[in-house]
Amino acid sequence: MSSRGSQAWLFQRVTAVLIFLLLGTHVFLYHYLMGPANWGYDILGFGAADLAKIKADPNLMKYYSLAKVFANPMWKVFDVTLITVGTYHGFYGIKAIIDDWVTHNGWRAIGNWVTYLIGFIIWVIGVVAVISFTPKLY
Amino acid sequence: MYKIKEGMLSWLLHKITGVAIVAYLIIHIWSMAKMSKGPEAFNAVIETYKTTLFRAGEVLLLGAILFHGLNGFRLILAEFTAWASKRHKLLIYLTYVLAVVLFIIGGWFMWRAEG
Amino acid sequence: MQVTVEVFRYDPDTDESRFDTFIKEVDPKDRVLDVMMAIKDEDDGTIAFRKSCAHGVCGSCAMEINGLNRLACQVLIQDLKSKRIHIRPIKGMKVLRDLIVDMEAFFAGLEKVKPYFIPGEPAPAAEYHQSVKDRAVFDETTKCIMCGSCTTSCPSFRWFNREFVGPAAFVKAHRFIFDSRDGGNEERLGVLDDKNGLWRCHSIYNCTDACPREIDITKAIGDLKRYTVIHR
Repeated sequence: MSSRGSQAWLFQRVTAVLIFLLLGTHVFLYHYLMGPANWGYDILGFGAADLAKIKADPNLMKYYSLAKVFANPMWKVFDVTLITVGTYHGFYGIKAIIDDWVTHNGWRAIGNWVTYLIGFIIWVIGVVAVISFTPKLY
Repeated sequence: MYKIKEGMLSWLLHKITGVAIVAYLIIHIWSMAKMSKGPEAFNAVIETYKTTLFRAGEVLLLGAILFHGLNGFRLILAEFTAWASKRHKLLIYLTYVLAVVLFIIGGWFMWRAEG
Repeated sequence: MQVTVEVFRYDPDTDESRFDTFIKEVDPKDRVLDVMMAIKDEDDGTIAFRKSCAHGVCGSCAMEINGLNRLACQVLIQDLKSKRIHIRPIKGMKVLRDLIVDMEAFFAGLEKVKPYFIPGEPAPAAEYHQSVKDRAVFDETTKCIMCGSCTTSCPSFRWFNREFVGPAAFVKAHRFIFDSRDGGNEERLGVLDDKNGLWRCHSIYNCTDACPREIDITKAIGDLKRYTVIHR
């Protein structure tokens, strides 16, 4: 954030690599193991009782299976990390675009602060939702 | 007009896909936060995810992420190794080919899968 | 063969700009500069452009030819693969007349990185020694002729920010920073690691593609980025 851009440049690359690893896991878990590949439930430690409930009500399936993962403290840490790294990389990227394309000093400063603000709000929404999550069942 | 060469095209696409991904990130975090409001609220969000328009958007998002990721990987290689910098045009075309191939395969699976 | 040459014209007295079109009979092995000289001799003596050595050494005749920055003295008509030759001044700098631009901003950018030898402490008692290996590190960046093709091809300079130090200055910085005899790196790093410095470069490779000396400028900038991250 200082005028010295070297750390920001390095951070953007380090977070890029982190996102590659974390997002890969995230997509594989939520959008493959828990989606097309039903066997994911076994890996994630769903008992016979859980599976019976899920099979009984297809509507409940998506929420219930996600809730099970969301309630797990280890995955909470994972999701908070991903949200933090993702919002940093994404919104710093937007800031860098504004730095380039907005040539008027005043508008650039406003654009930067609006970007930081939106990024911070999104980060708070995500982190609060993940940390405070407790499953609600029908 | 100045010719748009490979590196410039990749740079423009990198910015456009980056903005698109951030836009999705905002929607994604905001809608997933509804998990805490209970199954009814969450299921309502999931229903909108199942609309054709949203699913088409998700397939396009896959394309954006594939390009942004592959091109980002190329940029890291190019900025950290002389080897990759010397071969930047070859590597740029490689990112295009890989992105298109993975997009067709992945997009087909995504479109075929149910919600 | 016959070619159509469109040349950018600007008259500072009337502040008007236009393109003039000339139909010329040329040899495919003529250079663009030859055609320009023929136009100046035979068609319109008022056309203004810089040229000096005509052999790709002095760097005077950089211009935008068919959408790419090049030296007019290095481009053969046959290599353009087009019967239409569109010539503009290099972009991002004030046009003084026709194809002549004000290079002061460009040289000011170069001066910022202190493109001269700064002795290290302590200075050796006799002459400086340098191994062949150490010399090879910055060999490529010694070849710069300061024509301005790279800096004016870069969107970060042309579109956004005329304060951007620019690729040519990075080439100069590379030439001295990676010189084992030089001791002025601390002073130069301040300019490089700045909001108008290295980090406005997005590895677009326009500079590398434009360089008439075939310097891999983007690679040199990559070297500087890594050096700056480690040493700052």
